Amino acid sequence: MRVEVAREVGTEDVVREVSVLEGRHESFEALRQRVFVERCNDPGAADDYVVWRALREEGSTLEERTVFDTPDVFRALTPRRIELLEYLHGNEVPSIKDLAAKLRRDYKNTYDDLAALEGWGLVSLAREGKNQRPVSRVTSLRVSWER
Amino acid sequence: MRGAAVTRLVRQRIWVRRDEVLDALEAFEGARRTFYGYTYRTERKGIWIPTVRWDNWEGQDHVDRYDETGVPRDRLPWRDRPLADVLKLVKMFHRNLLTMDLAEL
Repeated sequence: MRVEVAREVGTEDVVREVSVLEGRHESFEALRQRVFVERCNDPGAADDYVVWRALREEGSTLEERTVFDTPDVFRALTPRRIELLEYLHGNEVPSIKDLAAKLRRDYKNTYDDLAALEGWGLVSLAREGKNQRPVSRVTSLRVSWER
Repeated sequence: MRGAAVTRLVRQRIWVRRDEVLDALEAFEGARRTFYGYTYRTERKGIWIPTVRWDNWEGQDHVDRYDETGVPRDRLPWRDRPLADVLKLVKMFHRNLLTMDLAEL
């Protein structure tokens, strides 16, 4: 069984992606130096270079998918967590506290579910001042059986 | 006049087990796959460590193996195969990939 979770990556996401790359490597030139001159063997740096180089080109696009090729997916996608993802897909919330209130759920359980979903790459928790703003990284979810 | 090629990036994290993932990055220009990097990572003490990596970095198809701390151990030639084939290998052999002759798989 295979569960495929896809996310549309918009202009804002691309800006955020570049900002993350800048935080990680300082500049595109510094990254280029690292992978070509210093011959760093970190696969993450090589992938970052390919992504950053493409995102600098006009018209380039980025698609993101998370695929679960394991029944462990059901540890991640409990009914309450699906409910969280669904709510976050259609609504913006400023904080975890606000999300818990909207869903009439206990703060700690909401936080624990979000932390678990973040661990599986399905939610990101953006730090904004004292708050963490939960953002869904899912726009579609497809279950299939493949031989 | 021919315009500059537009790149389409596809980034995937494929969960094989709770502590094993295959991170795939592919770049396409039209239907042509211009880059692939498939990194099999395993989790140790909360850190995702690269274990085996297949890619065509600098136009050379090869496979890298890493030790248990994520330091590169060796590099072997590899013939280009699609992500689905690499995923099959990962699901079949898991961490045993480190002890196998990957160039022959």
